[in-house]
Amino acid sequence: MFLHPWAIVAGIAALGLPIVIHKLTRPRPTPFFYSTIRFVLEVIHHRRARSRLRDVLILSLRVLAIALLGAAFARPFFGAQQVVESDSNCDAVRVVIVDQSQSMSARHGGVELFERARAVAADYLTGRSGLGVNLILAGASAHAVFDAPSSNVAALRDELSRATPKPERIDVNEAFKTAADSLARSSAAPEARRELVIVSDLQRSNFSMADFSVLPKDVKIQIESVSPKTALGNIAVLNVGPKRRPEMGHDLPIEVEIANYSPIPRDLDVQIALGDNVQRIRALCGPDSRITVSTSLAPTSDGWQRGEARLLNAEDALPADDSRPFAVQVQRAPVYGMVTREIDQNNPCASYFLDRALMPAKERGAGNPVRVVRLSAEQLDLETLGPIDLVVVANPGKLSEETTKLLASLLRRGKPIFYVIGETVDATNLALLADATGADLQLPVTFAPTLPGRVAVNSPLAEIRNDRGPFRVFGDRLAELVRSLHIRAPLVSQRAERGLTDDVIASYADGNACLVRSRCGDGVLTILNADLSQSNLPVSPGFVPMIAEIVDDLLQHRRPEPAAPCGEPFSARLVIGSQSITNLRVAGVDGKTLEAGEFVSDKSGALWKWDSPDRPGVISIYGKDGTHRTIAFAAPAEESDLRSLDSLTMKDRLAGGREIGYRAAADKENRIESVWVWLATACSICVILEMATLHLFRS
Amino acid sequence: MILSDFLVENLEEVFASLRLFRHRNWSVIAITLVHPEEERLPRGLAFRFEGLENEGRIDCSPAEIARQYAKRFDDFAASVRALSLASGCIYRRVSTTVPYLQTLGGFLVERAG
Repeated sequence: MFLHPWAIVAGIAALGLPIVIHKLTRPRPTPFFYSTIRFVLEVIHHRRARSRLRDVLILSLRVLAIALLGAAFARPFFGAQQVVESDSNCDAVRVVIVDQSQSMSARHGGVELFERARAVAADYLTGRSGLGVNLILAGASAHAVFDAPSSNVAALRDELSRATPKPERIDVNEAFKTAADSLARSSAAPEARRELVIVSDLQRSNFSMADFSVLPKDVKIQIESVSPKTALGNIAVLNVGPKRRPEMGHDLPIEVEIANYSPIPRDLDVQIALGDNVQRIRALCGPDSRITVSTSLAPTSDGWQRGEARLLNAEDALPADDSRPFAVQVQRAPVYGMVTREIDQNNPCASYFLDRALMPAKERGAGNPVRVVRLSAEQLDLETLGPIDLVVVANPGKLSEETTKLLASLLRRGKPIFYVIGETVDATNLALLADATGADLQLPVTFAPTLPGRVAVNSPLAEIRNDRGPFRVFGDRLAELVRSLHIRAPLVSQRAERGLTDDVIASYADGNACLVRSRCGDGVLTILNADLSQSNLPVSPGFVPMIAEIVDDLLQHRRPEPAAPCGEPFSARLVIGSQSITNLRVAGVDGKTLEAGEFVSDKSGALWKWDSPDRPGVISIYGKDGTHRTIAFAAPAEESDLRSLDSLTMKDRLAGGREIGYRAAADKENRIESVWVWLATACSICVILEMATLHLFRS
Repeated sequence: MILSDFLVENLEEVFASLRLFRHRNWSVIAITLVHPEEERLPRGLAFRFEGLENEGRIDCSPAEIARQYAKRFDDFAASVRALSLASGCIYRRVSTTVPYLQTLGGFLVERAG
């Protein structure tokens, strides 16, 4: 390929110059009569071979020198195949995809990769007869400027000039699909060439799953990579969040995961802030590795808090990922709702034991709020359960359908439930609960009463998953504890068709399930199949820690989520009680109302939806009664790894046998410079050799 | 006495004939006539040399072959001299720029002793 092809034509024309000049400048011979030309003939004959050799050498060197000079002017470059030419003259429809993901805002040589992409894409948005063009700006969603390729190049260039990178990943296959749709809508003649140009940094995390099969086979594909030859060094905050449920009066441990995508180790200065509370940590992260740093911060107030982790001395290619926000809801100590028909004074009974395990004696006393609220099944409604953090069900009697539906709804929306089986009616309750949750709850077992005529007996625990669940805390003492337990299981269990076997945390020796934990929507249901009044479990030293672990697990499940990714559809369910959604508003850090997303009401309550979050940071949803929710948004963590796919992978492995042109900006800059220099040098050598040859043959 | 430029195809044949005369005790005098333009090629860029004895013509640049021509001619002249002397002839090389009477007078004076 040549930068200046016209020079080739000029060079070919110039090749005849030495011959023409030789012919034109050769002197006309003067006739001379000689007595004998015998000696002249002898000498010339003797010299003929030498003369011919000299003439051939001189002419060859002159022609070669001119050819090399012409080639040097033509500026050839090799290796970069182009399937689509920006200045081709044939009728064509062309779609240009420009990558708008966050990685495109990385800088190389002081220039943002997106600016390079803008210049490359502009080359392909040319206006000429017979060419229809469309532009797709691709992020988490693909936005085509027009529905179909158009000759309105000015509008496309204008759109391109205003485009900027977004804090999103790129959905490559979505972009391909949009391009295929655009090409299909073209009104050009069937024989017109169809072309697709992809301008991107070809980030590995995004393009490794590229599927070209959605594009028609006859589409010519040209890939323009704007990545430098070696991956840009970058350090980034990948994740930040608390390790446990934030509670007022307790230090909150916060973990920050940091990645160093560079070949050298980096000293890190990390600032972690929660509200007004700020701490700094210094750490060393090795090359191409990740570390997790942690600190503890004490919340200064309850309610929703904003936080941020920031790298203070980053100086890397992509500053946008040097900080990441988070949001936590600092709550008071959890309040448990004990759904039971048992009276508190009864001893021993399940609710009594559970009450003491949930709120130990040292926490009871004057001035301390009561954190275990006893409720009957008939009392349950949204208002009574609103302030409850964890619902404990122990011997409630038969639950009505309405109550079961209420519990199912709360469970789906994230309210954890701890169900302690104590009587045969619990089998019916659990079956109704499973029906009410539908496909959201897939219990690994179904419970049923013991067969008539058979007495439930105490059975030792047999299979226990000590890598998870409440038994992990016992460590090496677990075996000794288990040997000492005599637990009576009121219900038998049978393996369900659906559900995960891993959800059975512990089983009895007779095969019945003892402890089951299953997710249901945003919530978790934990079932303990143990009649506490007929077992020695409540009086064993392991009972209180076990209950504490079960409760902690259920409450941790509601641990604040990491920042939601920008560009991806997001929704959050809100518990607004009886107020209307019209009272709700979204605001930024400064409290000003933002136009972001929409509020909808459905049968489960209120929902806030944002189809495409377009800004990183923290926003809050306010109602009449204060802050309902604070949510953090950030660019996806995978955008921080700036490594690109190489041409071989793109053209061979992913292309699926298609012919794909690939050109890298880095190759374009380097290779051209070296080739023309070598050609000019070779031309000079030919001239020197010619002079040397002349001198040699003369002497 | 034979006066010639001796530019023949076969010098051996000529001197073989001359040796016949020598066998009969004739005194043979071989005089080589040389024109200056035969001795050295003319100066110039390009010439078309045409032979006077139907040898054809040839174009060349004298500068390129002058040295080789001069050597070739000198070698020829030397071979004529050597053959003459070997055949027992009296050899003289005469340039056409020298008047013939001068050449002849000098030869006779030399012969007279």
